[in-house]
Amino acid sequence: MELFDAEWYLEQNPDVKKAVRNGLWASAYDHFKTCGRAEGRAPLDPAVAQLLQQPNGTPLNVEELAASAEGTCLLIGWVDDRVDPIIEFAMQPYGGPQIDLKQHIRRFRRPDVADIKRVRPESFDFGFWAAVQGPPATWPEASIRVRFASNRVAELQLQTTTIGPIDLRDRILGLLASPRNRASRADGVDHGLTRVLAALTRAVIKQAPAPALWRCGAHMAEPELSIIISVPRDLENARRQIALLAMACDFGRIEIVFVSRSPASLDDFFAFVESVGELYGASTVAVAIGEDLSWARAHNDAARLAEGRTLLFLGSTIFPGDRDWLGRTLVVAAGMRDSDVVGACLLNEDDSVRQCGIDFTVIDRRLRIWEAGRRPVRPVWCAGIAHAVSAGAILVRRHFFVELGGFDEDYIGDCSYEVYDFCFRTWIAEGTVKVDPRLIFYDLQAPAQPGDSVASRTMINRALFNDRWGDILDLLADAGEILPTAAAPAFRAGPLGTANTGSLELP
Amino acid sequence: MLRPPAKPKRLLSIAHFHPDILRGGAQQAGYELFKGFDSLEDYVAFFLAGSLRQLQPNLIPRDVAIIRHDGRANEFLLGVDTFDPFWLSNTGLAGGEWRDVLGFLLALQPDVIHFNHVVNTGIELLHLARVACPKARIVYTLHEFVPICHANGQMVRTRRQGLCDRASFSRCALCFPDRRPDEFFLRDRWIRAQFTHVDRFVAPSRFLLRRYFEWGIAEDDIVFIDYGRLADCRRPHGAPASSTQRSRFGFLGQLIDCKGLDCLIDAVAILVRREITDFEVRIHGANLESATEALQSKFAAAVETYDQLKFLGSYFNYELPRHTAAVDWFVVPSVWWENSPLVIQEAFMARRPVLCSNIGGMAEKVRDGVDGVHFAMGDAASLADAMARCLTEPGLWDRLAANIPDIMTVEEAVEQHRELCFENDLPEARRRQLWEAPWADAMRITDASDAAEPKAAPLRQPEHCSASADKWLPDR
Repeated sequence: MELFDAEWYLEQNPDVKKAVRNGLWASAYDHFKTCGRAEGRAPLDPAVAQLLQQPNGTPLNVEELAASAEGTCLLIGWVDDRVDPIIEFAMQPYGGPQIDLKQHIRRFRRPDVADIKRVRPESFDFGFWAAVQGPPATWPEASIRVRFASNRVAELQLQTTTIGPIDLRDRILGLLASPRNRASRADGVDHGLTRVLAALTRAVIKQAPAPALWRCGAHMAEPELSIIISVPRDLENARRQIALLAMACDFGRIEIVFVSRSPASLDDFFAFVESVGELYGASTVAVAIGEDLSWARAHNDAARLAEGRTLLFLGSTIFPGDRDWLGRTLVVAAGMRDSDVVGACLLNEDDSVRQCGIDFTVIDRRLRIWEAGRRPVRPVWCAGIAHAVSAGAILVRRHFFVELGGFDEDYIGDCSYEVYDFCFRTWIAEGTVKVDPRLIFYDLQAPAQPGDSVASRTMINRALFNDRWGDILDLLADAGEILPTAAAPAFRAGPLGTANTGSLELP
Repeated sequence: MLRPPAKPKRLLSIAHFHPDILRGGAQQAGYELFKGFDSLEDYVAFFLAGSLRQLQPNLIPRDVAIIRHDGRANEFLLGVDTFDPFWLSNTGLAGGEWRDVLGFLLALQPDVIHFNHVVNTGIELLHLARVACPKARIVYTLHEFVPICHANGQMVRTRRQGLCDRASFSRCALCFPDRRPDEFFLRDRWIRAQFTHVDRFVAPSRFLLRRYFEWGIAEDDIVFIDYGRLADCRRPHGAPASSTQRSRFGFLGQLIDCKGLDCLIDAVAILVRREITDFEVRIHGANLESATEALQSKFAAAVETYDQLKFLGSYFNYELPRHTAAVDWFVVPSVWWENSPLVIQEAFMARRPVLCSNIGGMAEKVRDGVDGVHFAMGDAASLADAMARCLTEPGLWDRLAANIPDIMTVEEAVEQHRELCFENDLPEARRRQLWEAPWADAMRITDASDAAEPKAAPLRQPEHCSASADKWLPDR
C-alpha cells in the first residue's frame, strides 16, 4: 500500500489543486498516479516519510506502522530544547534497567492541541513514536531524567501510556475508516497520514494526566478554573496585573498558568511565578516559550498544562474593575452548558466599552478585506452571541478546547486572528460563541505600540484567515445577520473544509 | 491577685528616608512620632527607613536588604536600588528582595505598622506587611499628594505651573505628554488597590484630608491628626526686645522651586525698588542643588545684589532655637498646596507670626490677621506688600504673636494616634473598596440569583458604537 497525503500534495502543488477544483482530475491521488509520480512530485512530506522510515530505509505503510508498535509501548513527549539542548534523556523504569530514550527521539510538531497539516523538522519539539520494550505496568512508576547542555536537570513534560498491540492496530484502522478520512480519500489510498498521526497522538495524550514542567507551589488536583495569563517581557506590568487580580480574591481553588514568550530572564520569570504562588496562595505554573513561536502555540502549551475544567485566557493588558470578578467568572463558567466559548466585555479607562463581542463586516468584498467590528454596546447586560470574541479575555471549556484542537499555530506572532479562527471553528463544530458582560475587564493597551513587524504579521495572518474563511464571510455578507453555522453546509462541502483544523474524533 | 504585666505592643514605623541622612518634613515628623512611642513603657517601637543605594552607596552593602542604622537597636535602613516614581514601586522589592523584607516583618511581628511614606520603600510594602502580619493594624500618614499626582505629589501643573485641584487621566496626560491616559488610570487603580491594605489613614491637615476624601478615601477611614513636635529645643533663646523694629524675616526650609524662593527674591527686589531697605531676609536651607538651574543662578545673583538677602546655609534641628531667635517673621511662600509645613509649627513654637501663601495647608494653619498674614500665592508684589505692612504697621507683631496657638506636642500626637488609629476598634465591614470601578456595586454578587442576572447598566456607550444596538441577539 503506497503512502500518499492528498492534503499535503495539493498544498505543495497549487496547479494540481486548481485543476482538481476545476474538475480536471478526480482527486489528488488520481493526478499523482497518472502523471505526478512521473514528474517527480513527492507523494507526501519528506519529513513524514523520514518519521516513518524503518531502519533499513524503506518507508512504513500503515499496516507496517501498526505492526511495528505491536508488543510495545507508546511514548509521547515534548520539550522546547531550542535554547538549551538536551544531552541526556533517559528513563528509569521501576525495577528495570535504565533505557536511553535519546535514540528514539523523533521531532515532529505536536498535534495534540493544535492540528497539523504537515510535519516540520525545524520545529523545536521532539516527540516519540517509539517502540520501546518494557512491561507496561511499570511505566507510570518510571522516572524520566533529562539533562540539558547547561547542566540543568529537569523533570520533563512527558506523558506515557500504553496501548495494547491489537488496540493500536484497531485504532489506526478505525481512523482510516472514519468518515472524515474517507471523505478526503478519493480512492482509498490517501490515508491522510498526518491526520492519523495527529488523532492517534491526541488519543494517547487524552489517556494520560496532563504534565507540569514548571509548576510552583502545591499541585492542585481539579482546580475550578485555570487562568492562563500572558506575561510580557517587562515583569513589572505582570506584577501590577496579578496584584489587582488578587485583590480580595481567594485563589484557593484556582490555578494560574503564566505564559511568557521569550522572557528577558528565565530566572526572573520563574521567580516571579514562584512569588505569586507564595504571596497570593495560588497554584502557579510557568510556561516559557521562544518569541518566534506564536501566541497560539504558547497558549496551547499552557492549556495542556492547565488542569481546570474551564480555561480563562487573559491578555497582559487586562485588569479587573472590582473584587467580585473571580466570583462572577466562576458563575459564568459553571453556567457554560449551552456555550463553549464566552468572551468578555472590555472597557476603556473611562468606562466606555472598548469591545464586547465581534461581528465581521465587509469593507471591500473584492479584495476580501474584513473588519472585526466592535459590537454595539447598549444592551451590554444580557448575554449575546457573536461571530467571535476578543483575545483579551476568553472563557473556554477545557475539554472543548482540546477537542477542537486549540488555537491554530499556523497563525504567526501575536494577534487576534487565531482567536477569530477558533471561534469560527467553534461554530462549525456546532458549538456556541457568546459574550457575557458579567465577564467585565479593563483593557488598557498603553504599552502596546505595534511596529512594522507586527503590522506585517497581521497582514500574513489576515491573508491566512481570508484564505480559510473568505467564502464563509462572503456568505455572511450576503445573508446579513447570520452566524457561521448557518453557512456551515456550504463551508463543509467547499475547499475550506479541508483547511479546517477541527478535531479528529476517534470512531 | 497579681497579674503579669501586659505584653507591650510592637510598632514598626516606616519612612522613605531617615532624617539623619536626608532632611525633610515628612521623615522628621515620622521620626519624632516614633521617638514618642519609643519612650512609652507599653510600646516597643522600631523605625525602618528607605535608603537609596545610589545616593548613599556606602551605607548598605549590595547583598544586604536591611541593616541596622548607626548601631541603634531599633532603627533600620532598607536598601533601595531603584524606585519607580510613577508606579511608586521599589522594583528591587518586587523582584527578589521581598523575601528578606518578609523575613524581617515576620521576625518583628509588629502589632501596628505605621507607614509615613511609600516613596523609596515601595508601595508593594503594604501588601508584604499584610501578608506577613495579617492581624497587624496598618496605618498610613499622608504627607502630600503623591498617590494622586505624579508631579512630585504637589498637584501643580507641569507645563504652566498652575495649581491643580483634581487629578484626571486626561489632565495628568497633559502634564506628562509621554504617557497616555490609560497609564494614569492604571496607576490610580494600582495605588488604590494597594491602599486597601490600610486600616486607617492619617491626614496632618484638614485640607489634605478633604483632598483625599474627594479622591475616594472614605470618611470613616481617615482622621485628622496634626504633627506633634518634640518640645526639647525649639524655643528661641530669647524673644526679640520690644524696641526692635521687627524687621527680620526668616525663610527656613528646602531651597527648591516649589517652596517659592523665587517669589521671595522678587519681593525683596520690589521692596528695594520702593526704597524700603531697612529689613533683612535670613535664608536657612538645604537641597539647593535639587532646584532648577534657573533658580540656582537667580538665587546666587540675588544674594550678591541685595544686602538684605542673607544666605546662612543649612541647619540641624538642634540649631533651630538660635536661628528662630534671630528672626521676627517667618515667610512661607510655597507655590504648591503644602500639607502641614513643619516650618509653621516651628515658627509658632518660637512665637513668631508667619507670612504665608493663601492656599492649602498654609492657609489652614496660619489665620490671616490673627496669627499671621496671607499673601497671594506666587505673587511677589503681594508678598512685598505684606512685608511692607509688617515693617510699618505699629503693634502688628505683638497682636499677631499674642494669638499664636500652642502646637501639638509629640506626647499629644502619640495619645491621639493610640486613640484614633492604633488601638481603636475599626468597623467590621469594609466599605466599597477604594480601588473599585464606579459600576462595581451594580455587579456585586450577593447570592446566586444576583450572579445570574446582572443589574443596572452604568456603562457608557462610546460614540463610535452608536448604531445598531438591536444587533444583539437574545440569549439562545
